[in-house]
Amino acid sequence: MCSEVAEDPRRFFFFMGKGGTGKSTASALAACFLAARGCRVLLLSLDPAHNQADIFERPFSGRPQAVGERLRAAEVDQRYWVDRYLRSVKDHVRRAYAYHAAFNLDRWLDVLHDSPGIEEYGLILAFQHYRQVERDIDVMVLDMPPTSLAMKFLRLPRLSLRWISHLQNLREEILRKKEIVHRIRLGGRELETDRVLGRLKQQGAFYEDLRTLLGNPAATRIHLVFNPEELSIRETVRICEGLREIELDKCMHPLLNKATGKEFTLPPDLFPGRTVPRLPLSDRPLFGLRALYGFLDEQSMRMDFLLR
Amino acid sequence: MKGERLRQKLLGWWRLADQVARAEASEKLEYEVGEMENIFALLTLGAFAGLPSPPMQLTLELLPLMERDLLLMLEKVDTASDPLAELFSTLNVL
Repeated sequence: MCSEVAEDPRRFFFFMGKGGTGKSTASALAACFLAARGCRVLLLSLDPAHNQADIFERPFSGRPQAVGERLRAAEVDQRYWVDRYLRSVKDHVRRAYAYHAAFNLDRWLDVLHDSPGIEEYGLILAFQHYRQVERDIDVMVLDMPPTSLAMKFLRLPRLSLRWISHLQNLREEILRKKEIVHRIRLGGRELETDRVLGRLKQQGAFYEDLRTLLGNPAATRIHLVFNPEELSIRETVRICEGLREIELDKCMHPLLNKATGKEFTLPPDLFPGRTVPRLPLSDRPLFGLRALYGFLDEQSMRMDFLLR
Repeated sequence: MKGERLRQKLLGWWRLADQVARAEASEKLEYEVGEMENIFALLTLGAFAGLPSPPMQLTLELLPLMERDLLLMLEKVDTASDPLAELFSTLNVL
């Protein structure tokens, strides 16, 4: 599996679901399982309330640390990425603007930390950073934040592309008309290249690349972790609807965690014709590498869904 | 000699007429471009004037390049009585 895709052989396994369903444990188990099967794995926690340090019983930071053979882990400090980004915007604004305008804008930029949309953008920046830097891995396993933030993360490329397309059309129309005015007034002198349009195109390429990656079932798997209980199942149904809306349904993979033998019913059209993989409820806490690998030794057949 | 003076005079008139015609032809278009630029600024930087806007990071990416647009927008917000209704209905944007 680790070298099947020719262009970019890396695969990205997202684990998301309702809070408390065991996304972090499932992603840690998946990372250990894949590493044991010979893949070079980076386990990356994007959940602001990180659990991987508890699961592996050691502190993590943004710098990937070796946890076991072929397995490294890191926890993303989303605040760091937002700060870094806003600092760079501030610097650019200060350089580009006249003093009086920049003076007023500074006040706005200071409150942007808590502006809607910034949180998920911090996660996108972090994800893109690790994607760019971590070239020597086979699989990146991503422990996602709770549903709301995870869905915002997955929606952002599509939402941004809609805005970019609209703004780009408007900007091109403006430039076309400006060109006509110039031609009438100045007789054919060429206009300068529009930097705003250039930046819009650049942003379009950034999000298009991300949208393509997230929507490519050969590269991306979004594991929907749920438990055999009503609230968890209902939230999974809503996540599926959300992912269908943004055309990521081809990448959806259900995963029943903490299976107890208790019966549960999924809507028949949710994952038609698919067997839902089950991870049983562990009879002991899954903390530390030994416990994780011990569980995997007992349940390794159940993890084979990761290799399909 | 007389013919040359007449030629120069005619040429002067022609140039003036050409300038007036060019100014008239581009005046309306320039006004339209100004309004469209204001709409672009409102759409992009609307958050700074209390309007719905694209994802914040998109605004922030364009912000350093849009000082002129931002000032134009603030000027229009200050002076026009009801800029949004007028602009959006006249030019049928959005």
